Amino acid sequence: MPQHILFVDDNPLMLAGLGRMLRPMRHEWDMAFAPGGAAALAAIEASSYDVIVSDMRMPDIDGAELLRYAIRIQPRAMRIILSGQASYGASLRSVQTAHQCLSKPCEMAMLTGKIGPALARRAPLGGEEIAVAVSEMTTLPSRPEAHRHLLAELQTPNPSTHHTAEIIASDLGMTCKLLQVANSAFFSNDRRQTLDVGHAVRRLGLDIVRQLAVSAGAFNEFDCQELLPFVEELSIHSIETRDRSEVVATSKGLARPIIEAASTAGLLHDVGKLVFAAIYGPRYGQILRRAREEQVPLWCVERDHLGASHADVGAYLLALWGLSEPVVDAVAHHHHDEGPVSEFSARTVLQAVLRTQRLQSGQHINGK
Amino acid sequence: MKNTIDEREDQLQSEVAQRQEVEQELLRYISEMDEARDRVERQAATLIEQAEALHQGKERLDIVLQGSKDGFWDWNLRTGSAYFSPRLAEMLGYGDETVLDQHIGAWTNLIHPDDRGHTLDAWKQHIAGHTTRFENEHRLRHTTEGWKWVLVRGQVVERDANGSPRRAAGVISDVTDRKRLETELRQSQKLEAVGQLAAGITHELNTPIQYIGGNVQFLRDICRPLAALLELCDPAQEALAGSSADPMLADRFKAAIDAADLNYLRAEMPRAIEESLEGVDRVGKIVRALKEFAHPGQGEKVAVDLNHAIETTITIARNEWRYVADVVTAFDPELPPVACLIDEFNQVILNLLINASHAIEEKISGGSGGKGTITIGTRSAGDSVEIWIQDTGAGIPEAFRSRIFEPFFTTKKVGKGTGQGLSLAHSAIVRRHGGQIRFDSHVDVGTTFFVRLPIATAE
Repeated sequence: MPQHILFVDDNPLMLAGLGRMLRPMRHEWDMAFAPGGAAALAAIEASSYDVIVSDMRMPDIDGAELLRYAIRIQPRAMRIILSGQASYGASLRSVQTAHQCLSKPCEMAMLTGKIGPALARRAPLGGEEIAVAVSEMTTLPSRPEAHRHLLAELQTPNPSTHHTAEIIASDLGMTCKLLQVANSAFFSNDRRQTLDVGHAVRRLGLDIVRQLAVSAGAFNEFDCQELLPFVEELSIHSIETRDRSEVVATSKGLARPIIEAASTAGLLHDVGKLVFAAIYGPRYGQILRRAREEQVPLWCVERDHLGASHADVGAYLLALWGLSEPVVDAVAHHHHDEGPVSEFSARTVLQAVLRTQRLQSGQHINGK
Repeated sequence: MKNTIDEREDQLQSEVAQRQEVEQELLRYISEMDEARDRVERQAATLIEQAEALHQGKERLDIVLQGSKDGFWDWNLRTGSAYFSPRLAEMLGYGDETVLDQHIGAWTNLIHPDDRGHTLDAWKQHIAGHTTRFENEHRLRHTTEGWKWVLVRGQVVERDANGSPRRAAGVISDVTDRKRLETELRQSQKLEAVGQLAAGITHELNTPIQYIGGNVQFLRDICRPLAALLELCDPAQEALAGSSADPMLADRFKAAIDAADLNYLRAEMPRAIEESLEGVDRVGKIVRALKEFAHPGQGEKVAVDLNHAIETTITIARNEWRYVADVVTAFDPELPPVACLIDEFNQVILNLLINASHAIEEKISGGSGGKGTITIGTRSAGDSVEIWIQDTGAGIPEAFRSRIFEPFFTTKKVGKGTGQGLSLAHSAIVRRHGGQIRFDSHVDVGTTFFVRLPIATAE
């Protein structure tokens, strides 16, 4: 079944050009074109889309505003800004509503390379409910302690880049959001994806990070008291896995990008749990308890009751937010165990680390 | 006897009277002398006071002149002779070995040609009585350090009965540093404005580039099936001609094939499309580079991929070097990101690149012919990185080497170079990045500039 994709731009020539350029995708994509924000709004009121690709600067309703409506009317859709724009204000606004920002001119391969993997990761999510809840998210909750540390650091007269990066790197939610923003087209002129939090903070500059944290609402606090201990524990496990993955990848003499992907995958492999905790709150608490009591792997219980595992959900979120495929792939497959391999990738490093952790803790429950 | 006694008495009395008179006169003289002495003493005291006051005044003047580092001038307009204080002479590099002639001509000869006009105008305004004070900024030639910016203030202090000025005096201040800061500020304001405009223009351009590119890609995609279809035209037409079908149709088909110049079209269509795509790609690259170059900086240091930034600057400045040189890059692919003010870094690389082109232009216009080469490389060096820009140009003459980073020093013709590029580069690298900039030059062989930047900012 073809995917429904809506392209929005106030320039009709732009839409016609896109349509012709993307003609080879006609069997996979069912494309619609809306000449401007108002027309786009009418279109999303009338029918449903899998992806909305919008220009930023439009006279009636601009891209960020349109996507804000889209979150309400069609929360399931993947939201992309495609812009030639170059102002900080507009960029900060678009990172609040868009999953990804791409810059004009943009070739077909760039579009298909961003949309394809994200939509492919949506398929394993059993019900619509989860796909909607994940697509709807514009931020991930952070540990309240880390969030407060960050705000305190950023409000000192001379905040330190190093400390800021350390605080962010200690938290799953903030790390994900930061990497999403730092890799959006506007902030990554050199088009090379960075997975290193320190590099991402330096690339954005503390001023932008402060605006993200303080005024743009990019980070927020986890507010379900009951699950707070779980989130704390999750954070400790994630950081430990990140560090071990980095050690293993480095000891194998892998190239720098693979080491970075492996350690990022280590940190983010359980991000789906955080997503579930944010979406379902106490209901997810019951699932955690059930898995523990019945000694069944957590992911099995999640699939039975929620229709997808935290690996599926984490991979979908990361693909939606534009993280690189090796990381997404490692997260998606972290419950598999392909056994010893001759060639290492982020996926196999993560599997090896988790295998060791399982052996050390002597248990097979909870998917750890 | 009595007479004699009387006579004697009279004589005595008159003597006494005379003596008394003399005594009185004496007393009068004495009192006059006392008065005179008092007067002299009083005058002496006044003189001493005045002398002290004068001394104090001179001392204060000296303190003021010394403290302000200003020089003093005093000009006799009738003879042209002038007094220039030692500080004034020192300001312009005169001292023990070279002496500044104590004549007004010695000064006016040192004024920068571009500043003579307005300096003279301001002076005319003043002596005509339109301004109460003369105040003017101009450049004076230093004996060794190029041009110094000075602020001259003063006034006519004596006029003759006809009102013609006889004497003028005042002070002179060295304002070169302030001028440099002003120029830097102006430069950065100008760059900011240009940057904003360029960012807006790139936005305007990116949309048409997107759809021109999309359309040409579409044409390329359909070209192959269309070519296959066109291949069938000739056989189809022949078949049609030999068949029993409508002969009119066969003729029209033939005419249409001829009119379309079908063979040429089949050969040229794909090429035209490929070349258009190449062109769009090229324009897209330039616009992207311009967007990055003009991207307004955030006024704080951010991590920058220097290789990429340099590549961008090379693209932007292509028109400056392409006619005189080939640019070769030797980048360290493992170069770590460096914390820097991207606007300033780009400006430094641009200045060095333009200087390199000029150096080569100077050499090849001297008849050696052929293009030169500019090599730009990067490498890690411990906790810093080094960027080097090497040209095969004319080289920097020995005599100028110690002065090239001085503000307003230029060897280019008056009105051509501003003498600010290297000075700005120096302050950007050294002051604002805690880095180093140095060079190695050989006349007729070329010059290499080395820029060293610390990788991390001190926190």
